[in-house]
Parts: sequence; structure tokens; C-alpha cells
Amino acid sequence: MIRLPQRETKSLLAIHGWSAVCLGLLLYVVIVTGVACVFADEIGDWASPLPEAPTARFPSGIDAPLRTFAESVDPSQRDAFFAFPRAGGRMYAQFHHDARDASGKMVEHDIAVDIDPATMQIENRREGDDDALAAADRTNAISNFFINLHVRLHVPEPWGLLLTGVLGLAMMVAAVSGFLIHRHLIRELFTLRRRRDLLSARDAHVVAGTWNLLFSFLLAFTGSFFSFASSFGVPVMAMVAFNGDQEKALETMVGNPPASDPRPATLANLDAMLADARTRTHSEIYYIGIEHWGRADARVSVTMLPPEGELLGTTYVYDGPSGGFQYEKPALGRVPSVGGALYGLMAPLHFGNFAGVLSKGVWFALGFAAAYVALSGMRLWTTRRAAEPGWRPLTRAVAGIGHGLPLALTAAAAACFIAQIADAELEPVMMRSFLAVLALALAACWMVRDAERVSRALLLLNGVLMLALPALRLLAGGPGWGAMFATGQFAVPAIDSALIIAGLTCLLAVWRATAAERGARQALRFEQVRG
Amino acid sequence: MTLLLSLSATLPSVLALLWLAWRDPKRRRTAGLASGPAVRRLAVIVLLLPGAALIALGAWAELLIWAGLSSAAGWLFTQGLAVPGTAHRSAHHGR
Repeated sequence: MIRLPQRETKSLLAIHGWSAVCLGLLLYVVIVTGVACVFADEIGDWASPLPEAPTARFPSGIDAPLRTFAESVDPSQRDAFFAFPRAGGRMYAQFHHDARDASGKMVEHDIAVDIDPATMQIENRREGDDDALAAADRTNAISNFFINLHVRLHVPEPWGLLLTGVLGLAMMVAAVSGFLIHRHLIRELFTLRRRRDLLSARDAHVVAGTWNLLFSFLLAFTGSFFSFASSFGVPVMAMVAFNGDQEKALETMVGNPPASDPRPATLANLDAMLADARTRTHSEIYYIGIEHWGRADARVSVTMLPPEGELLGTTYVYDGPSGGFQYEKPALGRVPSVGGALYGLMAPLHFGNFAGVLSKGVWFALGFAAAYVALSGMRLWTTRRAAEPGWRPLTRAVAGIGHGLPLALTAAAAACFIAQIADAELEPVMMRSFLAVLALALAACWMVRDAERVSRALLLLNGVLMLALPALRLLAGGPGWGAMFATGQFAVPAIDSALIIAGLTCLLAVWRATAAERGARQALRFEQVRG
Repeated sequence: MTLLLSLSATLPSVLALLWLAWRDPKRRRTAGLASGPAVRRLAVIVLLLPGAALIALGAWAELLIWAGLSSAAGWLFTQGLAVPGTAHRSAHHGR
């Protein structure tokens, strides 16, 4: 051990604690946005519903508009294509092309459109890299904003993914170390002392952490996997085994390397391939992917949703020019394997989308508990040290972000509707609103001595804003509940109702906390008078 | 079918959890309540049996939903049966 003077030891301890809490706050952002992202599809349906519900995820006749879109794209830019329904059932279709710029740097060029499933009209064409497409997206803006924050904290690739991967690892370490340090974990599984002191705060953190331990570990592990796989895993594997060729590494791993044949060839009818895929399994189509559209070596992959009671869907591969069925593809490689099965399980275990709203609801509850554990842990840690001057700013930062982040997310959603009314660009307005509200929350916690009072004010504002969101949605031209019930689009009334209940719960929590504080103050005054 | 099987498995586990939470000796001691006869082993078996049955059936989606709902219910019961501060103090004063 290195012997250090007491002053240096104290400084190092402060740096150690500060960095841990800062990392914890970022982890809290990732968890809270992850909770919202569980319902990303439903949020998209709620924010931008169509007047008519689509008859199927991939309605019959989708071949024609997809073909029209493909013909409008330069053949050299049709390397990869994928399509899936979102935001009210609009078909999102995108071509992806990687090329090197003048300096030799790899740049991506994507072209995306939305297709209305009722009219089969192509809308909202946009081009550019991933960020440019997200910025120009007006139908799925709220979901995109939350997903981008959850996946990479809006930090450019690969740094954002690396950061969230590290945060996932930190969450795993916290779960395992928490399990090891709390000796009476099982004995105190049901013991929660409700007082306004550190002991109850410790109980609340330990109880929530214990009940959520397994799922926290699961979500952290799968989340880290997703972050590291593309930002770190594939490049490193490509460097070691494929001489730096990432495309070759991916092709080998995915097990779908087509024999290159660049001769032009018309793609067979997609509707027929989709109809064939439906006859092979008892589920609907999840998404389709096409390599080399318009070439003789084109291949079409049709991935199905998991059938009832199962975790994984099947992928069927078709020959592009003939449309003939070729083979059923495992998640990894060409033959089923344990590794492939484990890889396939990562997505359902992380997203919780394997049994529709039921499993999503469970994942939402567990994610909420994980967010509570993260926040209560940081509050406990900083409150214990609040008397030390070096820790006071962190105590306030935890209070500010703890309640400021949910408020900032609600504000971003509200800003999206306001920007729609003003016909402004959505993504920049959402980002500015999010950052401004977060900064104001932090500033309030910094300036006002009573952090509890600021937390209550933030919760109150969040409640009011959540109650206002359904009204803002209507003002932005969104349909009413009657029209949505009539067309069987239940995401709109369901999320409106959830927001109203959540808003009222926030107001009730504030009212109860204020009443409890008033009661405690009166009791103290009574004791003083009696004494 | 998934909904039915998940909820059928979760119901006995949730009831067993409620019993375990209600009769938990440490919680009762902290609240100043008398501990009754311990039948925890039976309750733990009732709690875990549906999970074992789902594993035996290979119903993995239902197993995950059962585990998630049971965990969330355990947390909720502990919150709902929290020992109020006054009871805690009176338990200490009573000793």
C-alpha cells in the first residue's frame, strides 16, 4: 500500500466518491430512459396515430410502394435495406450504404421514408447519416429521443455506446457487490422501517435492491452486451480474426454471406414472400431485411415475432430474384448452436417484448424498481456525507437529477407537441427543452438550501405537465379517444390514461409529503412548548 | 394462453409471498408484534412450486413473467406492510 499524507488521502477519497456518484447519475439517466423505452412502440403509436389502424403489420400490397422507393434510390446505394412498422403502423423503410469519403474515412449514407399502410403513399423522405435521419423524423420523434438517450446518451458513436456499456458493467458490479455486502439480505427481505431518517432510507434501498437483484443483473448484462457488441466487440473481432474487415466479420458471424453477383436482377414479389413466411409459423412479421436489392445475389430475410408463449421468433431467408424459400436461419451462423440461442435471447431479455403488453408491463415495473434502487442508493450515500463540504454539491446534484430528469423527459415530450403546433423542427426543440429543464432543476437545488422542498416542487411540476400532455397532444392535431376506440387503436387512450394517473399520483405524493412535513413541524413545536 | 398460464402460476406465489411477508418474524419483531408459529417452509414451497412447474413445462416466457410479477409483488407487499415509525419506537420503549 502507498502511504499518503492525510490531506492527499482525503482528496483521493473525494475524487473516488465524486466519480462514483457522477457515474451513478449517468446510470440513473440510462435506467429511467430505459423504463420509458420499454413502451417506445406504444409511445410512437400514441404520439402520431393514423386515422385508420393498419390491417396487419405488413399489409398486403406493400410490395408496390417499397419497389417504387427502391427505384428512386441509386443502385450503388442499395447495399442493405430494412423495413418495419412503427408510429401508428406507418412502414419505416430505409436503405443503408457505407462509403469512404475523400479522406478515406468510412461514412454512412442512409435514405429513409414512411409509407402510409392505408393509402400506400410514400412520405417524409430524408437522407443523411443516422443522426440526420433522426433529426428529420417527425412521426417517431419522442420515441427516438428517448431511445437515443437510453442507448448512447446522445453522445456520438462509438463513444456513447462505450459509455453506456461501461455504465451497464457498473450496474452489474453494484448488484453483485450489494448482494455481498448486505449480510442479512434474506432475513430482512420484508422489513421496512418507515421513519424520516437514514435507517428507513437504507431499508428502502436494500429492500428494493433485493427484490430487483436478479432483474437488475439481467438488464445490466444484456444492456452492456448490446452497447459493447457493435462499438467494441465486432471491431476487435474483425481486427483479430479478419484483418480489420468488419463487414467480413459480420457476414461470417451472421452466417449469410452471399456469393457476390453484381448483375442486375429484378427482385421477386415481396407480398408473395411475406405470405409464404406467414404460412410457416403462427405469428406475424417483425421486420424484413434485404441485401443487394436489384442484384442477382439479393437475399430477403423475413423475421417473425415470437409465437405465443415463446421467447424467440424465426427468420426465413428467400432468394431475391426468384423469391424462393431458401432456409430457416438461426440468430448466429447457419446451424443452430448454444451460442446462437444465447445471442438470440439477449433481445427479449433486455426489451421484455416477447409477450406483448403483459411482459412489457412487467419489465416496466422492474425497470422502475431499478431506477428507484439507483436513486435511493445515491441519496443514501450522499446524505450520509452531507455534512462534509466537498459532498454538499453532489447531494444537491442527486436531488436535482433525481426528480429533474423525469420532469425534463416529460418536458421534452411536451416540447415535441408544441414544436408540432409551431411547425418547428422537433429534435432540436426537444433537446433544448430537456437540457434547459435539467439545468433549471440543478440550479434550483444548488440555490435553495432545502433540497427536499425543491424535489417536491419538481415532482409537482412533473405531475402538472403529465396531466397537460394529453391536452397538448390534442392541440397538436392528435385524434380524440372516440376516433381511436372506433378504429381499435388503444395506445392513445391507454397512454393518455397512464399519464393522467401518473400525474395525479405525483400530486398526491407531493400533498402527502407536505402534510407529513407540516405534521412533523407541529409536533416539534409542541415538544418545544412542552419542554 | 400466455396470460392465463402466467397469472395462474403467479397467483399462488403472490399469496404465499403475502403470507410470508405478513408472518415474517423480523418484520413482526421490529413492529413489536408477537411472532406466530413458523410455517415458512410450506409457504416457500408454494412460492417456488409454480416456477418449477413452468420450467418442467418449458414455458420460458411464462416463467419470466412469473418471476417478474412475483418480484414486483414482493417489493409492493414489503412497502405496504412497512413498520411505521411510532410502532418501532413503542417496540423499543416496551423492551
